Amino acid sequence: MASSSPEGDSSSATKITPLATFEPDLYQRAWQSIPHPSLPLLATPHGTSVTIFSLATLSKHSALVNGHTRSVRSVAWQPGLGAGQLRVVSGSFDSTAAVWNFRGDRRQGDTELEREVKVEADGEGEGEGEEEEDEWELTVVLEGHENEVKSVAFSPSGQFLATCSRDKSVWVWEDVSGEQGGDEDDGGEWDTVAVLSEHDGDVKAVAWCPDVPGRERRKGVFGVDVLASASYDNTVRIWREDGDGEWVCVAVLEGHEATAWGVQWETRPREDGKFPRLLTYSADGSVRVWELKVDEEEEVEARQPWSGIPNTMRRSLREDWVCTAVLPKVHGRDVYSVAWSAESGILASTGSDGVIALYAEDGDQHSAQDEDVEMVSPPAAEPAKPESDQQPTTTATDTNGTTQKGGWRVLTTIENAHGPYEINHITWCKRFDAGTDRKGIEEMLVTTGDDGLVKAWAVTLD
Amino acid sequence: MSAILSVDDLNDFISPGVACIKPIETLPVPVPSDVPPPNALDEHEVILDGGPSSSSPSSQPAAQISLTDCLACSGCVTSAEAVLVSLQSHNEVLSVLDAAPSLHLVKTTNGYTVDGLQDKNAKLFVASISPQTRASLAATCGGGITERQAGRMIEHLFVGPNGLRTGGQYANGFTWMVDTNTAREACLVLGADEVLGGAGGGGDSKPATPVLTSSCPGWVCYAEKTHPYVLPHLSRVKSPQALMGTLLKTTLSKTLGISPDRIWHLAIMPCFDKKLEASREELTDSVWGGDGKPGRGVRDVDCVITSKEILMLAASRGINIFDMSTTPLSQPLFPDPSLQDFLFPPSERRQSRAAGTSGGNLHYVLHDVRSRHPGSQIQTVRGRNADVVEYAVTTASGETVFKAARYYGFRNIQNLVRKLKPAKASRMPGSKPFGSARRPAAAGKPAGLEYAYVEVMACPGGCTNGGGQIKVDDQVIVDRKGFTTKPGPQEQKEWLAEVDEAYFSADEPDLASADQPMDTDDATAGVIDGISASKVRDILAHWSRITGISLQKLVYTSYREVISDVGKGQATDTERVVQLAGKIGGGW
Repeated sequence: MASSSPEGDSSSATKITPLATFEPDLYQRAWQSIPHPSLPLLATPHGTSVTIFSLATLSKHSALVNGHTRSVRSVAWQPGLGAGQLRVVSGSFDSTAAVWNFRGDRRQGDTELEREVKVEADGEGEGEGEEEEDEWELTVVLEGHENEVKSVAFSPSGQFLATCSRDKSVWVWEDVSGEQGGDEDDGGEWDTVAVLSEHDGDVKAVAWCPDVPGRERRKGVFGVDVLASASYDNTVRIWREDGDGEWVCVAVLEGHEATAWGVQWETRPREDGKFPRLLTYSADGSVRVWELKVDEEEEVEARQPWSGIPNTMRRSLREDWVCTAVLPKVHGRDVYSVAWSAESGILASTGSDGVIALYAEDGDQHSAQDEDVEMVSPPAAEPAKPESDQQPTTTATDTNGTTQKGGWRVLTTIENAHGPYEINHITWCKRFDAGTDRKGIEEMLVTTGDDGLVKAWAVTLD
Repeated sequence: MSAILSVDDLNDFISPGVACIKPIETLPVPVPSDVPPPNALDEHEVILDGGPSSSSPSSQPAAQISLTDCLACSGCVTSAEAVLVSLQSHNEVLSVLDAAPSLHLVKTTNGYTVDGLQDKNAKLFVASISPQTRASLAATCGGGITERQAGRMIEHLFVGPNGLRTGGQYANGFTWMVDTNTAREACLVLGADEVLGGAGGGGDSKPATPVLTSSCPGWVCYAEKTHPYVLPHLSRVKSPQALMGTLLKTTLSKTLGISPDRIWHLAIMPCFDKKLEASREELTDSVWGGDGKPGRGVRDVDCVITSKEILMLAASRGINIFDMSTTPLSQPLFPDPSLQDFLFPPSERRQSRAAGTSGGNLHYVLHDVRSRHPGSQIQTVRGRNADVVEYAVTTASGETVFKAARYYGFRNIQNLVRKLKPAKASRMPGSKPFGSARRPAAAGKPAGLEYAYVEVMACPGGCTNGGGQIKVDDQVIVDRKGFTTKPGPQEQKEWLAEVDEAYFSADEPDLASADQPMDTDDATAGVIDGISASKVRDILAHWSRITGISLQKLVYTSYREVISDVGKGQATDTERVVQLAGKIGGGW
């Protein structure tokens, strides 16, 4: 396994080197590490709690404890809150999601929060450990799932929260406190806006399309937010709001031969303003790249929304998602996590085999010129099956020049990144530690493993 | 119509649990017999239901579960489709019809009696049909067939000489087919009395405010199993199906002098969960004929089949339902003249669009309120989606005297039950109590709901979209519409609109613009929304008189919190595995 590694090939200038291990060791399986969208904070669920690390000190900042009775598998930072407000939602196997508000050092005022973090960054760390139990307050419990909540995710604006569960459903919640001027002391007010039950198996992960220009591509047809969910039924589904308050499944992405563990949206804006692509990864060991097909006719329609076209003439509530590439196979076992850099466009994958792999897209600046690296051409285009097999698109993609450059190559791999342990999560993350002179700009990788360790890795591109 | 809808036939009613946990109690831990690939070992998927992941389409013995078991178990929200369909199905209808020659109605000098009692299996067959079922069939027929015409086709199938009577061992058919809309009128009057305090008084125990509709069995079942704190709010009035069942069983057994178990009552409904309702111990002769307590007596409704199952029933007798006549069929007189007039009214009440397609409980209450406040207006505000609507009755002086709402669909029900839920003590020691998805009551905002009444239905779009209706992706519709691909959400929306259209279809379409709100209230005459409350009360009193049973026992019902004993006591192997998995952090 992982024998295709070009490691040792001195021609490849891309390197992954260990940077640091976050302190302390959690001594429990840890499931993921989610960076705050702007602040130097990282949230890592493990056991029944969540540890918040400072990205400045690479050590513990605070903790969310006593909120769940079973393991916490997923966390999400709510974006779009007022200055100085910090709110985290945790999803747990106890079938609930919990909303937490940060209480630590409130009286210092809004702007102090960041400073506080930065002070710690300078290594002072005074007062550490005091009040630890009170720093985060559990303010709201979101109940409704019948059993284990597997993943939670916020839409880019923070308006919507998606949760998914072993009960095969995806729930969409809306934070409706904003309209009434939400009090920063509380956990918001949450309405259930959708219960989506189309998956035939546990839903493992949910992810919202990031707010990049390409996202507006089809907004005349739907609301702007796009949700993807990955399931034990081997499929990934795309969900959108139909403009009438109804969330509908607009596409079913079929192709994986085992559980789809997760999805990752393309976070870097595409140069041609196209809709972000989607990565899906699976227990079948593969990572697939999917692209939304938008035809010209619809483009025109989308630019003049509600232009008097009768309802029945409007585009049906479907999207055509096509698999344009399968990444070179590196992992011998389940791929648990893939991260897509918003800066470099480089992919990082990891999984059950403890391997970390980096990939670049052909034609992208980082794909270098190494001719000897394994090339992968796009597979025979596999149409995403949108409920029915309407408009089979078995050949269409070939004529569309863009899909031809859908080749990806492995830049480098490292094995046993967490020793013999499985790696559950990988993410790109901005550096704020003393070791970088480009704080908040330079990227690093963070992996989270069954060994209870959260590790930071420096990535050197050519 | 809604996000909760999907290609599956059943998922638009309150979704069944991940699995029924009943069978699992007796099963050993499913050990994968085949050697799994190495990576499968890393997926410590915690699975109770033998679902897709347990890799065991193994030789589990077929579990036998009765609907009454389902009602007694909180393992899942409702029960599994297979259970519902196997126990009350078109096959059961056929086998009961073929069990013995049916009882025959005989007119005597001082009334009616029946013939054929010597055969212990002989029954008198009576059917009741919902308007949503007629609408489903009308839309399926297409070609401008109205709901009433579709109803006549169904009557010909069940009662007429060219329907079920053309086949079967004894050429049996149904003696009567009645319309649940007639029982509905009584339910509306009783329901409004319960909310507003009227001549009926609302029974012995009044529900808490806001009063919540209880005619949707999916919603009632969900509340009993998952949110028992809402039970005090549920309307005590029986559903139209249940009220019709009690009416038929009590009056027919009394007037014909036969035991209620000699009357076999079939209800035809838009909804699978109505089968569950029919199995409730609260709706048997134990309540009105026995000790007055719920029990496993003779059911008021013996069997429920859905709109879709009518097609299966006709097909299995080799009858093309679409060949049935649309001409009126004359049915035998009901053995009580007053009830004859009530059950077979000379003219049918028009279905008002504003009433919706779920019986119009809220609509009637609003009109009752308006009739009590001359000059008042009903105001309507759409909520976050089409299935949430708020209503207010405002007097001429601008004072709001009544607030109510409609909450349809599972996701909207979540928001309703959350608002009714009492706050819990915090799990964090010393912390203040927290709300469930709402700010703590301490925040100084008005807590709870200000509504006096909420019409709650499990299905998005209401009862015309019931789980048992003929669906856009059913073969019959795919064929009739000529779809070349599987219909998607848009086609589904359009199909539901057609069914709704059929629901409101009048016999003569040009009679009056159906979009015009009909003002059929006449406060002085006691007529509200076309229903004379005094006539309804008279017939209810008559019913009580001829049967000698108190109205309390006839028209009201009760609800109970369902506490599962599953998982209590000694732990099963499966549960131990789950606990173990939880301790070590579980699998993914």
